[in-house]
Formats: sequence, structure tokens, C-alpha cells
Amino acid sequence: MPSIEDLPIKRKIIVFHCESALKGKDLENHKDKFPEVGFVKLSCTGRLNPVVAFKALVEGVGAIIIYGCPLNDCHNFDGNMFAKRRVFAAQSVAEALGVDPERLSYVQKDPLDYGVLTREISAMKRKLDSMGVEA
Amino acid sequence: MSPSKSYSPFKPLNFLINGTLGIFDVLKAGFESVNILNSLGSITFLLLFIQILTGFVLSFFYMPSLDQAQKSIMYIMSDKIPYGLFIRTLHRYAADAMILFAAAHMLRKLFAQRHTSTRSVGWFVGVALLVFTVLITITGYILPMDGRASEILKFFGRGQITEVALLVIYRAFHIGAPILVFALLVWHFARISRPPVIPTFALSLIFLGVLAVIVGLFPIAGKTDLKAGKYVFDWIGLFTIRLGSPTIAASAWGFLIAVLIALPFFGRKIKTAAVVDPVRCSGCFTCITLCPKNAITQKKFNISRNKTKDVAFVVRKKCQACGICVAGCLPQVIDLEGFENKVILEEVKGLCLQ
Amino acid sequence: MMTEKTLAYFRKIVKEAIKSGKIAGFLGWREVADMPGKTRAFVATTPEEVDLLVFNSFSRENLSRLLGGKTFYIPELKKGQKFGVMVKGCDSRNLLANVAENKVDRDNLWVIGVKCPGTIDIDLVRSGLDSDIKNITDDGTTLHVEMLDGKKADLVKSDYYDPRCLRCPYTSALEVDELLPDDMPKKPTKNWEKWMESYLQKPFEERRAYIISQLSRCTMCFACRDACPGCYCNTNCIMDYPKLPEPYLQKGTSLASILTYHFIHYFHLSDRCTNCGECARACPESIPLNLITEQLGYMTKTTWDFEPGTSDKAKTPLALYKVEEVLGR
Repeated sequence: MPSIEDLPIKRKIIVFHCESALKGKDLENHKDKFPEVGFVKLSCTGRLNPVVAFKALVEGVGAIIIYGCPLNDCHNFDGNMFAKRRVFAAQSVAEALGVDPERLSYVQKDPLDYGVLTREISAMKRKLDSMGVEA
Repeated sequence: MSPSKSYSPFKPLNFLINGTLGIFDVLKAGFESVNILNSLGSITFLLLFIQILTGFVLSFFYMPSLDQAQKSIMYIMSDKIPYGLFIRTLHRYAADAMILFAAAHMLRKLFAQRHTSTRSVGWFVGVALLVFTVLITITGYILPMDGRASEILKFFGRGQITEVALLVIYRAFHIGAPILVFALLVWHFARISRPPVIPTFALSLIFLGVLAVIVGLFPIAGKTDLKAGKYVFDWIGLFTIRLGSPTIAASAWGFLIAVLIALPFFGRKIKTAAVVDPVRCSGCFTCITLCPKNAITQKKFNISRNKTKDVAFVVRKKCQACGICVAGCLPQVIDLEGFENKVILEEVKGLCLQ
Repeated sequence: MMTEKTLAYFRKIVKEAIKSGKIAGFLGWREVADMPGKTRAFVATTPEEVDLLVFNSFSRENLSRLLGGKTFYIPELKKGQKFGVMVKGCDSRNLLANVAENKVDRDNLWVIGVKCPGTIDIDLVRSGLDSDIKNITDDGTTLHVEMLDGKKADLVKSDYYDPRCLRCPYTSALEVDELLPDDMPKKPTKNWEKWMESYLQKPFEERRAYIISQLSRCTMCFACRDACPGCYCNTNCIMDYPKLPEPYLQKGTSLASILTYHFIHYFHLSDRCTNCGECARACPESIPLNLITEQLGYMTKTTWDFEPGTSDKAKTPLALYKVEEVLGR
């Protein structure tokens, strides 16, 4: 019979990002700064199927960050709005199923502040540290 | 199960109080909740409304004839009309502000890459709107028949104009053109779904307050304004007529318009679209409610020779390949070219194994 | 328990409708021989078959599942003809949700609603007895049980209610064509939201340990999916479609697979679940799946102020877009 120990957590973070929120030099800088973080490009955060994110969580990825454009500034009008709601629903279901919902987070780009993603990744790393995840 | 609607006589009052308190919220948050950069276009629209209101008031007293024009303007600016000076000053300052905000709005959209692919039509209409705004401003300065008017007329190579020409300029450019601007605006807004056309109540109040203070403190000069050669030149509205000659001005504007129209054609994406698998589609049409571009329609699909079912169908021309429907489709029947489910899953799997 | 008078009235109107050709058939519950305390779904097409239809505290199955996209019980209808169905409170909510999602055409249905007295969890009754049940009757307050070894027992009914019925506020069926008179005994109710809040205040580690220990019994038989009235991708389910290019589940029952399966099921239902409790009823391992759906229902109600299945036009929050939320007004 399976038990809780069957769910290993690796020190790995995946960022699903909108192709217009994170691109060019900005993306390269983040990739250089965090070589252990995986960046997956999406056409819009509304494209993200939360099932994929959850599957990655139970397969051992430590944390997942969804990085989208600011609200009301989406290239596809409502995409980030739907993403925000879907991520919230996914967090609720994950909590009910016994998977820590804080390992899944949704952050928005801020046109005046380019450190949002860096701070979020650092916060996730600290969270993994506090959970006792080893490299 | 419809929500009950109750009418309260205090509703407008509540709205006012909430809106007024909203100013403090906005100030307290340091404009965090409202991004001014995203409100530039809507402030321009607000200024257009100010122009229409003040222009409506001014049109009661203005007389479009060569000898009466100046006198009627003087009459407006005298003490006989309450707030006449204020309204005329507002009308002129708001025109300049409109050009400034429109230009800022264009720059913002340009730097945010909001002018390419599906939004290019809005950009083209916007260029036309800018040209119209500048044209209306220049011709508007002819109307008072004062020093500025004679400079403008000199620039165009005419010392004098006829009575009829003034009337035509007034009717065509100050009444006709704004109507055309409104028609273009409908087109401009129609390219966006659910456009935030009106700025937030608090932001509009703050903006109008600042404008009113500026207008109240620096009213436009009265008599000296009308003497030829002795006036403050309006560089925002009238920079065109100091470009040397009409030929230079026309070529400069032509070059600018050509560059603005050419911009969206650089860096265009290859057209991709979402695709529905009609065999597996169960026909719940959640995707139709999700689609921001109304690109999905119902279509009959033949299961066997004499049996059909309704399935979703993506109109390739309208689809802008955002993928909202792909993630919203529960049986995962829709797939997006370029960002296939399989590709993303493989990518994630590869990252998990590292 | 329906009174004799109401049952006779109900059978009379159904018989008349079938005789006059107004309906092609009637979907209701009938008693099962040799299985006391159980009923099953049944389509009556002749006036004689109508006499088999019953409604009592053992009518637990959610009939709207059979009218949705998964299993389609409606036969070919002539023009102007309808198909009759009997619903209790929770069935009617699922029916409305299916109507809102184009799963079933409401114009083709003739819906008779009942005021539900709450259903009895027969497994709970059986677990407290030494021998198997031969016959069981219900008089509104007491359950009279006759056992195989000849003994008899009288049980207090309020101890054996299905937990889903105790917190259900929708006793009366919604938006029906005909509502049968209210002659049922009242069921006790529980303050569900208060209970949910006290549950959510427990530390996460405790909740996690409990639900994972329960879910690890899952054998991935998909009974909860098949019983669910909200699921509709019948042959297109992404869990078992043979030609699916992207496999979400691995072979065997690893905990990762179990959690992914339940995540897919409950994420798809996150904003549409009417909390009918069919998944927990259908589970052969008796995993308390209603604990998950109740948290979803609480989340939907508190964050989005939305209760699925209360209107036939309602769009669910994940397919709905509110402008105010974006503009921050």
C-alpha cells in the first residue's frame, strides 16, 4: 500500500511564464541567475493546464511559479484572469488532497518593479529549506 | 432565481461619497491600484468630453463672421458671462492636454508592443485620430480671427479669408470633424474586448481638479492676446506652423504618418491557431464562453452516415492563439499549434528528470 | 417515506401521462428484490410498470447522472413528446447544472420534484448489526429491521442518515414542472459551514496525514468518476482514452498516480460540484471523498459566492469573467 513517503520532493523549481511577460534579456538574466530553475514558455498564462502543474508537483518538483502579465494588461484580454482563478481552484483541490498549496504560486509582472520573480523564486527556495528538502 | 433589484434614492449620494473616499485610497496606495500608464488613453477620452462640453457652451456666444468673431470672443471673456474666461481657458488647455496625452498613450502602447498583429487596426485608427486632433486644434486657432489666426493664415499663404471660408472652417472642422472622430473612436474601441474606456472615478476627479487649478491660476491673456505679434505661442498645438513652409510641414507629417503606419508590420508573428478534434468533442461549449475573440462557433459533425452532433469549431482567421480554451477544455480536445499539450508535458517531464 | 395518498396520486398522474402519449417513459426508482434497503433506477414505459415506482429514504441514487452526457437514458422522442423524470433536491441541482452545460435539453423533460426527507446510509445500518438484513421498513422516525436469523430490531432513524443529507440545505427540488405535496417527515440539519471552518482550522499536517492515509487505499477503479453526475466526457475522459497522446497516469497504483487521478477529477469539478456525495457513496473502499467535495463547495461559496446547480443559466466561475475584479473597483 502506498504511503506518504512515496512522494519525494526534489530541490527543483519550475516557472511557467507568459511569453510576453518574460522575454529577451529579462529571461536570459533570470536563467543566468538561477541555473537550477526550469523555465517553460506558454503563449499566455491562460494556456496553463493546472493538471500539468500538479502532476509535476507529485512527480517531485519542489515548487511551481506561474508568472503572468499584470491584471488588465493581458495581450489576450482575460488570460491572466482565468489563470489566477484556475490556480486558486488548483490550490484548493491540492490542499484538500493533502499536497501543500503554497508550493504552487501565481505572481504578476509589475511594470515598475522587475524584481518580483527573483523575490518569489528566493521565497520558494527558503520555503523548500524550511521543509527540509535537500539538494 | 434573479437577484432582487431595489432602488434607493440615496444611491447617487452613496456613489459620490464612495468615490470621494476613493481619492484617499488612491493617494494612500501611492497610485498602486491604478496604473496611470494604462489610463492615458481613457484620460484622453475624458478630455474629449471636456472639449465637447466647453465647446457646446462657447458655441452659444461665438459668431463665425469676420467682423463679429473677435467681438464675440471678447464678450465671452468679459465679466458679462459668468465663468466665460474659465471656460475658454479650459477649452484651449484641454486641447493641448489632449494632444499630449494622446501622444503619451501612443508611446506607451508602442513600448508595450501593443501595436502589432491583432491590435494593429486599433493602432491605425489611433494614428488617424492623432492627425484629426492636430488638424482640429490648428483650425480652431483660426476661429477667433486674432493675431494667431493671422499667423496661421500667413503660414498657409493667405493674408485674408472670405466670410464663407471662415464659416466652412467652423462648420467642417469644429463641428463635422469631431463627429468623425467619434465614429473613428467606436472603431478604435471595438478592437478591444471590454475596454476600460472611462478612467476610475477617483483618478478622473484628481485629474479634473489639477486641470481646474491650472486653468484658474493661469487664465489666457485677455486684450494683449489679440494684438498681432504680442502673444504667447502655443508650441503644443501649433508647432506645425513654425516648421518653415507648408511643404516642409506636409513632408514631415507625411514621414511621421508613414513611419507610424509601418511600425506594426515589423516583428509580426506567424499565424497559429487552436484546433478542435471533432471526434472527441462532447459539445459542452465552455470554450465559446471562454474565448475573448468570439472565434469559436458551433458546427455540425457527421458521426455516421445519418447521425450528426454539434461540435465546437475554431474560426482560424479570428483566433489569436492565446490558449485559454485549450486549458479550459476538460476532455482536452482542443490543442494549440506551437504549444501542444504533448510538447509542454514532455518539457516538464524533462525538467523533472534533471 | 411517502404517504399512500401521495404515492397513489403520483402514480396516477404518471399513468395518465403515459396513456395519453405525453411522455415516452418515466425515470424513477424501484425496489430491488432480495436487496432490502436498496433501490435502483428504472424506466417505466407502460402503465403496468408505473406501479413499481417508489420513493423512500433508500432512493439514494442520483438520477440526473443518467440524463447527462455520460449515460443517456432518454429514448427517441416523437415530436411534442417528453421524457418524465423524478428528482429530489440534490438531483434537481445536478439536472440544472447539466441543462446549463447543454448536456440535456430541458424542453424534452417533464420533471416531477419531491421534498426529500433525507436518505439512510444502509451500510451504516448494516455495520451495527450482527446478521444480514432480511427486511427493513421506515415509518418516519424509526427503522424496523428484520434480520436473517429471525431477530428484530427498532433503530432510531436520526442516527443513520447519510452524512451528505444532514448538511444539505436543498430539501425541495428546484425549477420543476410539478412538485408533489410535502408530507415527508423533516430531517435534522447540521451547520455545515461552521463544521467546515472548524475542520479547516486544524493544522495542515494533520489533515494531510488523514486524507493521504485514506486515499492510499484507492485501487483506481474509477467508480467515483462513473457515479459522478457532473462528469460528462463519457468516452473522451483523459484518464482512459486509449489514443490519448499525453498519458497522465502511470500503470499501477502509485500514490502519485492516485493523487493525479483525484486531482484531475476534482479540479474539473472544482467550480461545478454540487456536493451530492455520489462519489463517496459509490466508493467500494469507502474513502471519505465527500471531505474533498465539501472543501470545494466551501471554497466556491466563500470566494466566488456561487452555488453550482441553482440556476439553469449560471456560468461557473472558471468560465466567467468579472470586470470589477480586474479594474480593482
